[in-house]
Amino acid sequence: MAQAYEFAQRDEIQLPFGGIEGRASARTPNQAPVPGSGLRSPTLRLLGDDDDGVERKPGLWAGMVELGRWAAHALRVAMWATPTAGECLHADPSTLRGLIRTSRIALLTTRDRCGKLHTRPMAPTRRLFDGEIWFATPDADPLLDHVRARAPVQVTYLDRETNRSLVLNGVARVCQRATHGAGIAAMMPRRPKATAISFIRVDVMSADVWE
Amino acid sequence: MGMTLTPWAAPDPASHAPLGQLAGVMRTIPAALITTVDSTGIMHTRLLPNTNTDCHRELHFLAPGDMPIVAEVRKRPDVLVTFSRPGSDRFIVVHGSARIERDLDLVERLWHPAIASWFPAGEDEAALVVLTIAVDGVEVWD
Repeated sequence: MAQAYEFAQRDEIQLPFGGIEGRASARTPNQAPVPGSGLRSPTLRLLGDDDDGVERKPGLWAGMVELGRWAAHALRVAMWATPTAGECLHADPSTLRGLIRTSRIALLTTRDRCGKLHTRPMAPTRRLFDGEIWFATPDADPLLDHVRARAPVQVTYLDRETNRSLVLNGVARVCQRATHGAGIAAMMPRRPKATAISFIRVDVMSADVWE
Repeated sequence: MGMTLTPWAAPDPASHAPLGQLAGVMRTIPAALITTVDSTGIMHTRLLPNTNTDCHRELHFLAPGDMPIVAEVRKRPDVLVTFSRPGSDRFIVVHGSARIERDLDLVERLWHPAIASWFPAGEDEAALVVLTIAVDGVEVWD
């Protein structure tokens, strides 16, 4: 209960946000906290120290951190989106995620060593979009050479229900293995040893929606 | 997905017969995505109204003369045109080299009331240029 006691000692300190102040003023400042009776779980912590042995409501803080991360990313995506002409929409994150989720075709456009454009359909991954897109392809695919030679690529999602196209510009990289949760386990072949698979990771820089 | 490159994709310009099958499909496609590369190597894709009924030798698109695509095509003529039919998973990818033409006769020939809403300038056809794409190859994906 050392943590809880220390928390109670800071009652007099004026803190810039209202939540902790309101909580502190609910108790009389001179009363020492009785071990085991109150203040068992500080729901708001000022310092990030996970190993303090204090029980707290699971997931609340982690959820808030996750929400903050998501909002920061959403802002980044919105600011990078570059509308170019009349029918081009600003791709806000919810539109973007919705289109990625519902589209059945993802076109990956690359340029070969000579600069010629190539495009081919890839199996879209069923994964919540967080700024990167993963594709899997056999090792012998010339697409991998294109990506190694010229990293800027384009991913186009065609949504046949709404007839909208989502155009994502990004930087691609060839990876030998996918990170956990890349969402491509579903499209792996039944016998992974039979064909060697490489992965392409696209870090999205800008998004346009055309309709 | 089970996508295959159909054998009637014909990069050989000498044999146009298989492309004739596309004529019916092309009429039903309202718009095409045109991918160009700018001077820094970044790809740009823009949607333009479809004014083509086939893709035998050349494709023609109308574009506003001040669109960035005009400058990009002058520097790097290699373009990619993607036609996707609404409501189906089939799409057509055309490789070609583009050029800009300021041909008022051709603009008038391509002009159609249905595409008027694409250009805010409306009837001011003098501001439009024709993006002509000489077809190098066609891929049809189902």
